Amino acid sequence: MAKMYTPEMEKIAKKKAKRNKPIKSTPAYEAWKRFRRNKTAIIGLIVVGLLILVALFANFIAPYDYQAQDYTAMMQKPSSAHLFGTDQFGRDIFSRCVYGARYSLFIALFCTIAALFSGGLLGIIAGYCGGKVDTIIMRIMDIFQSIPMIMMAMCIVSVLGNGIPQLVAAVMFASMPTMARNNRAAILRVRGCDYIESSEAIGVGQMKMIFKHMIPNAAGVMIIYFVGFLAVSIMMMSSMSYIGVGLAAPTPEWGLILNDGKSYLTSSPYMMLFPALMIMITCFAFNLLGDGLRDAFDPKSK
Amino acid sequence: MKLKRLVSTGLAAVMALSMVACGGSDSGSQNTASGEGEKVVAENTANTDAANTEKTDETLVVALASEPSSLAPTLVGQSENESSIISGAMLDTLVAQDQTTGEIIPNLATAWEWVDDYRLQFTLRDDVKMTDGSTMTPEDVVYTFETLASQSGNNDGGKFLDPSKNEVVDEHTVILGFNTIAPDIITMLTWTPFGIFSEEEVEACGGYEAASKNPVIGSGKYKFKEWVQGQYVLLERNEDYWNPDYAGYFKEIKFTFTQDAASREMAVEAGDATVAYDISVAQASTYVSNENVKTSFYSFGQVMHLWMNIRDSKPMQDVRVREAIDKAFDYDAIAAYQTGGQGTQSLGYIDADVPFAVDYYTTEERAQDIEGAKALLEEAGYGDGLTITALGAQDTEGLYTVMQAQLAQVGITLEINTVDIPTFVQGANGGDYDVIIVGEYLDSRNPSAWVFFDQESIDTFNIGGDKYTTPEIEAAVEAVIQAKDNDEAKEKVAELEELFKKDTLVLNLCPEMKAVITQTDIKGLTTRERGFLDVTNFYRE
Amino acid sequence: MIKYIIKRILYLIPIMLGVSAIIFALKTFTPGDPARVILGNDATQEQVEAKREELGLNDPVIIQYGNYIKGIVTRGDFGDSYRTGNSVLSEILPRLKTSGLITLGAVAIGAIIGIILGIISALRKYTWIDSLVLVISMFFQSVPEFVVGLVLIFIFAVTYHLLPSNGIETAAGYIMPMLCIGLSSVASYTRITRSSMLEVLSEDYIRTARAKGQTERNITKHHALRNAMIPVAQSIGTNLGNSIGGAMVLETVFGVPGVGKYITDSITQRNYPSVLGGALIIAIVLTVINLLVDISFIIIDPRLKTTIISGGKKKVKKVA
Repeated sequence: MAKMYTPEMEKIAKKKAKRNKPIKSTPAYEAWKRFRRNKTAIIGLIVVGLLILVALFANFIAPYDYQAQDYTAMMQKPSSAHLFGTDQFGRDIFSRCVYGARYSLFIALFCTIAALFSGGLLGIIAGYCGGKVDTIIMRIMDIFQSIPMIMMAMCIVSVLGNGIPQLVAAVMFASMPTMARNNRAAILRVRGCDYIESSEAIGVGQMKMIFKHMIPNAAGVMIIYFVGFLAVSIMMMSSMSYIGVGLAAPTPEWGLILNDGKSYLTSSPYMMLFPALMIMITCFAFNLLGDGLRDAFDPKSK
Repeated sequence: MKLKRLVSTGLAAVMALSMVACGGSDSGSQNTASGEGEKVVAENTANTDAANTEKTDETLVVALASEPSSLAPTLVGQSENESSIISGAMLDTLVAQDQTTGEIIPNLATAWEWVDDYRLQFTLRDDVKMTDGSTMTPEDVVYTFETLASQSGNNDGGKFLDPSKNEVVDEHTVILGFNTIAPDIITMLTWTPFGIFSEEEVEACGGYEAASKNPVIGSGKYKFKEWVQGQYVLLERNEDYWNPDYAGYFKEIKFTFTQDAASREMAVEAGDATVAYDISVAQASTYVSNENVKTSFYSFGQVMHLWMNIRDSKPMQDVRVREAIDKAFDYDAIAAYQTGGQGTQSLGYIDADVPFAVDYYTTEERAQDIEGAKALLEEAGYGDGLTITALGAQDTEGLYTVMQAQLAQVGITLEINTVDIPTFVQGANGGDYDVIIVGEYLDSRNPSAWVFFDQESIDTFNIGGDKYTTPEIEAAVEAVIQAKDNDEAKEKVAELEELFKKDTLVLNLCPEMKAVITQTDIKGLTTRERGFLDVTNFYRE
Repeated sequence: MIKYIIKRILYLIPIMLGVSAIIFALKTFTPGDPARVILGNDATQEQVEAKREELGLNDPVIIQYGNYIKGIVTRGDFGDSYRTGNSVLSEILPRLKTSGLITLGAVAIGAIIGIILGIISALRKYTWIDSLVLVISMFFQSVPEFVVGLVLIFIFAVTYHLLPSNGIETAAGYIMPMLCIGLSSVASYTRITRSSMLEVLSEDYIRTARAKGQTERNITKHHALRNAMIPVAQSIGTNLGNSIGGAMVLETVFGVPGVGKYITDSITQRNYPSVLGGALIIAIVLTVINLLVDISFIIIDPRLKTTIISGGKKKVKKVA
């Protein structure tokens, strides 16, 4: 009988064993598997990765100081010396865009984290507690939502002045209702699941319930909003710069560079073009990534 | 399939590039002049073209930055640039000013003379028709000046009028009174807010408030026709205008309001607007080489100053810090940026073109001196850096950015706080800044231009600026205003300059300029006081 | 049903109270004195003080708030604009018409393009067409609206002289603002249409229809599309809110005298009655439109009655 085990058979048996071995199957792993197959999402991920690298190594990449002015080289068209040209102060637009990655991404990240912490937390509390708490929180959010985001942001900047923390606060307040709503929906969906009901039944503590069961399970959806909101906050910053409530000079934030260039649209379109491209590429990448994540974490919506 | 997906993503890049193409192809040829860092040379300026002689049925469209809240600001005690420009076409003043020579010329009044230090007598024309068809009387003039004194005692010199001294002498003669001695105050009467209207007109409109919205008043070259709130103001040519030498080329003038300067310029290029006003010089200089529009620049007797807040700011109270800032500045670069390469730095407090101006400084003594500035800062105890705040409205951001880079070289960090107008006014009033740019219009020795220097005005008026004066400065300013002629004024200005220079109170930056974009065949760009656009003299070649 | 409508309308009361309370709160902390703004830079302190008294700005905020609410409740009076002295309502209503037209046009453009793209990508799911559609719809979501606006002006007005560069004196003036706001919302319609179509296409009744041998075309047209449109149409309400926000910026770009420009201008002028009036009108309009959308669904599809009235969009999706 022993003879019957030939090397080939052993191989097959091994393969079989491998196949039968219970593969790790967490929701995150499943999501990653779905995500991996999504080429556009991968492209988004790569671009985002590259942008993060640019932001981290801005000081090595940028050939000039982002605020160095040069009156012998004002408003130059793109050339080998100035890849993206120069602005009305003779500053190198390429360097400004490169540093802009650092500022814009950083600020967008802060805005998003702030929005997630304020709005997100409210949403989670509303979703988890339900009942009166839910009603009160959501009615307040209804009120906030009735004020258009950009109007809210404008009002807050006129109160607080223009600086990075103020901008973050403005975007946070303006986006709080949307964040709360989305996160509440995410929690509600998890809440309806059997395993939550059963852990409730066996008397798992409230805090433990929220942090151990509900948030991890709703995390997928939250990540989608998180990534999506990065794009939204970058767009919002540029709109705010346009109506004059953005950051102060000479911060190389993309929206601000774009707005500087706007004045010279007909004569020197490149001044507007490159920051616009940076914003576009970044938002595009975040949106692609967000869409990929949506498909990955929330296959039903596919 | 993988390939196809990549292709589709690549399409995004193509769409992005199409944006490049749209932006790039049309103007690629236009930006060569400024592209190489050359200094652009202004070909067009204001007040030089021959007067128009032809009348047509065309409409002139003037794109302004913002819609005013009233069209006759003095009636309701408000002051707005846009309403001055619009009402300038409808109201006519007793005397006018030749914008090239500065000479006062007859207008509604044919002659004038001082009765005493406080009273000025005017001989009026007898053929001036008001909007309601009646003839202008001395009573109308008195009514106008009483209104100015009561409705806008604060504004544009209304506070220097003394209506109790007004007097109708006969049907062609009127005496107007003032409460201050100022031989040059007649210049003030050439300003738009001093345009003449009659009591009957204001009553026909329904009172001051209504007349400011629907101003069928005055005897100017154009009459009010329509104001569609949020959209436009329409004026029509006054066919009964008293002066037969004047011919308005355009039958109607329409004012539109577009906040964004780039959009205003594009409106001219698109043919939707004839004239775009209020374009920053730095921005306008990029349109010089654009063949689709005509760009004109002019200076108007206003100098930009950097005032240092001696009253409220601790570091600024140290004269060494003030001197260090002076030494840190490269005034040529500042002037090059602010005037689009067309003006040079100001060597005196008053614009060099003004007849009583003195070039008190030399370029050599104002040369940039980084080491000297650092030494002074070190001495003042700011060797390891100093952070100061600059307050400004949004249009000063560019100039502050230039200064910021220069100050950074000597270790001063300039924080730029550019805010909207209400916040600016409050901040300027509250002294919430270390340095502030103020453009001062000192084209004449008319006292309303000099109110920044007397302690009483500083305490009651709220505009920012120096907020600092001394009895010596006050006396010197008064001497300038009261000087009999320009030669005497020149001496007094030199004394004033010495007071400023001694303590480095103020840094003179450069002349302020304005730019106007018009369609290429438009001629007859003229201006009024403060460089305001006079829309009544435009015509096509 | 009537009870439901009344309840929804009553909801407006806390929302309006809340919105005005928020703006009153912001107003107290905002630097810049409205009286000073009205009078100009060179008014004296006494004149400013007199103006403040006249406008009631010296009263405690609570009193001001109370007076404001009282005015609305008893007289339907939203106050007078500080700037022009006209009643805020008389200034807003014509602007509301303009903004309304633009927003409706924008929603129509966004929804039509978005739905078509969404259907195409659902029917061709996981192919390159699907990805292409995704990229196209996302393009306009990734460029700031004012950039699209300025580029449109540059192309259509400056270069080809096809459309007016700003203003809405001719009907053509509406085209670019509508297009601009509409295009930015394409992505969200595409996404909802696509996912809802996919969900519907996997439903049992579609399978039944297929089994009965109906053509794909017929199935899409008669069964899938109709059901798939419900969540899409419901998202119009949310999108309308976003479009109004987008309009606030774009009305400035295109020089359109709409509510958005009115509000942004009023904020920079500290013209609080106008800011308040504008915000409240937007809140009312949004609530009413959302209500109308919901009511029209109940009429079209009575199955939805229970779900809408008991609330929750998620459940609606399940029914669909």
